[in-house]
Amino acid sequence: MNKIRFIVIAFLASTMFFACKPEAYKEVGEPANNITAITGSWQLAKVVQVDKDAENKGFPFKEADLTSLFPYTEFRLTLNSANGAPTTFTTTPGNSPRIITLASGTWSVDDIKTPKVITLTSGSTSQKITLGAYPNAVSRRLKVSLERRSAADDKLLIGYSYEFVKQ
Amino acid sequence: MKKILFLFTLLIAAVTGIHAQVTFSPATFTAQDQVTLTVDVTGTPMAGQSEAYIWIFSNVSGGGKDGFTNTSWTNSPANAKMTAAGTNKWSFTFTGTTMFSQTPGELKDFGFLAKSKDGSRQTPDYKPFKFDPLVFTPTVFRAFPAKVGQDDVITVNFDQNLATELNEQRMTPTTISITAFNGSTQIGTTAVTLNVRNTGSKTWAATFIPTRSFTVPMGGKITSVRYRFNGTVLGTTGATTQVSSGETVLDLTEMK
Repeated sequence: MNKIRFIVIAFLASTMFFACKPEAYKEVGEPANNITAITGSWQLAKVVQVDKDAENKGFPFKEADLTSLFPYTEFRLTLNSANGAPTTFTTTPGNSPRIITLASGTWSVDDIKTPKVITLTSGSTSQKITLGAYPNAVSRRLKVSLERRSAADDKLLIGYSYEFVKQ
Repeated sequence: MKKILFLFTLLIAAVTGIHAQVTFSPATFTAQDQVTLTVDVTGTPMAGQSEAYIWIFSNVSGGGKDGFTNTSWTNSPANAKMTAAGTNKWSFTFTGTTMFSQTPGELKDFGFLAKSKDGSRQTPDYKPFKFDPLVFTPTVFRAFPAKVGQDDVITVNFDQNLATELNEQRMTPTTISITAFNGSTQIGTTAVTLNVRNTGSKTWAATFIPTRSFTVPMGGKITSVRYRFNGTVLGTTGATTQVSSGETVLDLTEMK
């Protein structure tokens, strides 16, 4: 009787043992490529000007939406890349104020995986723009900002925020 | 004769723009910030002197006070003594609120001169130099942002609720006239006229970019703009009459 009980227990135990398998989790995959995300042809959709000095002092008038005051939405920015690395850029202002003064050239980033500052270069001239957010599944907008500082003492006086939509 | 010579020297100093011989560190400062001014007294009666004392005063256009170092014109105290900063250059460090015993809200600007201890020699007045405001004061005309460069978007605002002049109170604004200057030289010969927009109850605004509205000569720059709002009022006969506001000067900041 004891032998039969032992055999049954051994059988059940072996069944349970063979039923155990490691969980088959899916691969995490490659991290999102932010250079690819910001590559493409972008059209300016929103412009906000911030008085940084007023903001610091807590004054009542801090920012203004400029989008409808000039034909900003005619401005286009194309960022090209190859093999996940920045290559060339072009800007087409139309009748918009030239928010980026350079017409074409090359672009580079401060960090290839998680870029924050884009440097646009044309010959010996360069212009830096700061990324506000990478386009992703939640927001497909490319957000960048420009700073304007006093030439005399480098004090931050004005900030411009730009939102682009992909063409 | 000495008096005539002194007046003549003052006149020459004014004509040659000696006012521009004053620099500040930092370049912009509030009434609560410590600031060091440096003045070049070349071409004034103080040129070549071995020591200099400051005579300083606030709110040039009214409501001002003497600095606490202004104790005696004929015997300046030691705490008014300026520091040598090169040939004919003198510097002095102070904080507005401490120097004038006024609040940041009261202090708008200041002026000063350099003098000998006994007051027998002096420079012309150097004034006015504005303090950066620390408290917001509503005004009839206001630029946004408050400090802008020639390539920036500037919105000038007109709040009729704060106006004290009859035409400015009564007018229905329609346009704004803007002129641009490089120093005292006007850029172009005519004013640029732009439409204004209504932004609220008796508030109006116009927006422009100086370098987009004016053609700046090669190598030149826009250092200031002057603007006035234009509009209409009804005359005593019921006819529409064109009127303009007073002119406002907006100094532009050199940006990078």
